[in-house]
Amino acid sequence: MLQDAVIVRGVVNRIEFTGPNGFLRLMDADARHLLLHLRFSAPEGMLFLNTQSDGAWGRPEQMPLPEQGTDRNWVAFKLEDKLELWNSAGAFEFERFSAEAAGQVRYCVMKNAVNPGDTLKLSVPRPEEMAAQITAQVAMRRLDALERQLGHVAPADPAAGT
Amino acid sequence: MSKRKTGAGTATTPDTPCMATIAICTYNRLRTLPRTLRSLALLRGDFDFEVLVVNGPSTDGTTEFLAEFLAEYLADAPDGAPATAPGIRVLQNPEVNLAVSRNIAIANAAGRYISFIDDDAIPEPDWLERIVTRMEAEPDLSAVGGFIRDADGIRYQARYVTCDALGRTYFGDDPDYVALLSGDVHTFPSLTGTNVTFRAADLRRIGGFDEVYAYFYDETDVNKRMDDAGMRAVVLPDAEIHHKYAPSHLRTETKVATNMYPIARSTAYFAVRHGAPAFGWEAVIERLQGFYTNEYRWKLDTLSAGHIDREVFLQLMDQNRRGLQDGIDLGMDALETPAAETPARLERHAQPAPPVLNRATGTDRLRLCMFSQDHGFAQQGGIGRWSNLVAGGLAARGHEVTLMGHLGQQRPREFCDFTEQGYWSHNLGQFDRMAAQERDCLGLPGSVANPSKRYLAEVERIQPRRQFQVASSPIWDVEGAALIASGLVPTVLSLHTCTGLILPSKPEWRANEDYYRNHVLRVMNAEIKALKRSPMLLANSEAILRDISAVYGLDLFERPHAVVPHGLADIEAPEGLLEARAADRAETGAPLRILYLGRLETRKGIAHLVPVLHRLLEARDDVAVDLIGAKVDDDNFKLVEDLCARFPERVIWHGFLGDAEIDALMRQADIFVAPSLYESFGLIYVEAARYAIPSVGFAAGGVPEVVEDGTDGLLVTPGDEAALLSALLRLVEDDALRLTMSLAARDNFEKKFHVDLMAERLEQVYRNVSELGYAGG
Repeated sequence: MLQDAVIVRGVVNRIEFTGPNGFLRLMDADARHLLLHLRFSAPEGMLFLNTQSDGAWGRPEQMPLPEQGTDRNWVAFKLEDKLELWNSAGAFEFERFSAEAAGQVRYCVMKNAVNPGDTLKLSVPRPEEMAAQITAQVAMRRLDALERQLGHVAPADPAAGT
Repeated sequence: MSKRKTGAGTATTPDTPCMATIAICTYNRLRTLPRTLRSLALLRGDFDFEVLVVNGPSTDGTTEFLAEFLAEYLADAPDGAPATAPGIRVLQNPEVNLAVSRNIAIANAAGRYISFIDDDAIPEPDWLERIVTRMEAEPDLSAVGGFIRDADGIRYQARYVTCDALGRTYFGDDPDYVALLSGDVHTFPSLTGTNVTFRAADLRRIGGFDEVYAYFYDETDVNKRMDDAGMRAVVLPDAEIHHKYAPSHLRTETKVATNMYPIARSTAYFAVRHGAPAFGWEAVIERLQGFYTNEYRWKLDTLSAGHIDREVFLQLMDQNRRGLQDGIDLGMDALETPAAETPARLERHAQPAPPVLNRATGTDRLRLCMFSQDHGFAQQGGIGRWSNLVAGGLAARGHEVTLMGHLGQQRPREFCDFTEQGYWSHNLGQFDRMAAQERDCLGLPGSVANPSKRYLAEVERIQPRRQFQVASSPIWDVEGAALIASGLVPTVLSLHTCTGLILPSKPEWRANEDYYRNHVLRVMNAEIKALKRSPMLLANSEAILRDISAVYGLDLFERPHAVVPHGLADIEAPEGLLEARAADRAETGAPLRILYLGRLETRKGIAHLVPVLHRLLEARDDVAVDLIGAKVDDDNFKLVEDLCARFPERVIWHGFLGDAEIDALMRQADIFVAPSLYESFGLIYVEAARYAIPSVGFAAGGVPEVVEDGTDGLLVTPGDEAALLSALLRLVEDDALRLTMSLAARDNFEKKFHVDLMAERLEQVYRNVSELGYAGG
């Protein structure tokens, strides 16, 4: 089963998994947004990763999943000029991918990879949410000011909000 | 700069107007503020200025430091004494608010001009003079900025900066860029707050700083309002500040923000206040959305790079969110009630008091450039230590000193810094890139010619501001070769152990024919050329002049020369050293301690010393030996190892030690022994003398000029081990003689070898050369 995910350029992306009966998650760099959530039961599982560059998929790289234990493992990668993968000890587990641009990464977790998860919600607004808030706040304040100009509301205390 | 105290009550008189006020707004910057204040003592000019320090509610000891600084200045500094720190007036700001601090300074400034520099900034010595000259010449000029160097002191942090009404900043490197953009009605020159000078009257006319800006955009807002009022501002490239960019309550050392709230708030406030009338609301919204989006992306990168963790990321983004919201509200309020900027805002900060005036002159000041490769190291060589002492000693006498060197792998990046001792330290490197440059380096081989060329290039780079009158180069590696050959600045050649002198003890140099011909001979040739072409030879002893004359077949006594013995700073608490040693021995029955200090190498006479110590320790069981110094070669080290093995209870080899450890052992020592086969001077004997320790050694090189045989030590014929043993035994056995010589050693140090004396003598030497104006070449 192949899964595709969009990789953000310049950001360390991270995959977490436990074994043997665990899950694989692809998260964005702030470890908040779950891009991909895969359950698996893979005593002898194998994770295949492949990246797309300029629309073309490269040669798949593979990584053995842990055979046992409940320790959380992870690989993290950051797409700059190249895609690099680290294992949890900080050593390279894979050869470097030749990915010249941000794009897609394709995952294939063998054996029972199912159940994509939900995207987690952050307490900090994402840019598009904040953009809407700013627009709304400015609009509200302009409306308030206009109403005061028209004499409907008493002038605000300049010190308010400091 | 000379100083004049008026803080005790003398008001400014009409014939001595205060030309400029330097305002430093500080908050918890004990780490950098003292150096900033120290640097102001070197300002040149011909006018009076005052320094106002506005201290926020600091909790790191800044408040206490300023109180001590003030008390010391007022109590101790006699008029006419060399000024190593300016007189200051300290004002308190109970708020953590930079704009309020700036307004406190404006409300209390006596100067015609008010210059703001940060508490982690160092001005070049000509900074204020250039600004004052320009503003005096152009009465319609309201504000002047200057170039700002980054923390490394070399790259630029800011040159020509412009900003628009939305607060979008543009960094340019061309003055035409400023002129071009300034033609836009909504774009104005943005003079950065760490290097900006205002005509005080104009600044007061616009009501000073808007105190809503607790941090960030505070000065940009002033620039904008001045521009709106038709006031003129320019950037003066040569008025340079070094912004060291220290960590603060708002950022870490790696420039990672720790509190985005005031930045986001000021950004929104500025954009709403100025941007909406100029560009409309859509542009304001787009600007603030862009700010948040960029922040989100940058903070993610920072998180990814591991500079912050998840919690900090959340905090910072939350601060951004709240800051923007509050800033929008405040900006809206200001647009609705635009009456805030009135002189009344300043009047509430006035605390009338007479100014403390300083006189910027610099006319009687030396401007000296020195070369010394390793001056910045803890484990520095003799020339490095001497250079530090000279630079510090001359700086303490009020002179401008720049010390250039190559600090190697420990400090691989190039930098220039202003030291706590009050001199500039430049670390240079990347010498290979100089290989392609054609420079006369007196025939030096490439490996040493390249550093020499690099030094010259650095002198040329900074000469427009530092305006060196004289330079000083050691003969070793002829670091000043390119400068000497160029004739740009008259260069004194300081004599130390040179290649020609060291050659006899380096048979391996001769054994390697290629190295000998292509390196050693060429260095010696360059040394000879430098000796002939330097306008002044600086020797630490008659011996070094004599010995170099002999080895190179020159008569250096016929050349212009000066003999100035090395000096050392005094130790802490020198009183009662002898009594403490005697009391310790009486109480504990401790043995007499003999101390050796020096590298374990042939030139230091280890092969003679160790056999003598064997016999001494056999003869006297009330003697113990401390050996301090790094291993150099196996042969000499084996001798020391065998000695330690034979007398494990009474001989200790300490290896290389830092100053604190050496100090502790020196205080315990009764006799100093160092049978060097050659010392051009013998600084180690001065080390011993300042601890009131009599010395025993060989009468070689310059040693007899330091140790007076029979007075404060005993010197014997070089290589005569029997005589060396006899001398040691005399001092061990004769308590009265030891005491007399101990006292004489200390007396000798104070009268001949104190660093202040050396600095005073060197000042005269360098001054003579600078007045001579002959660059040699």
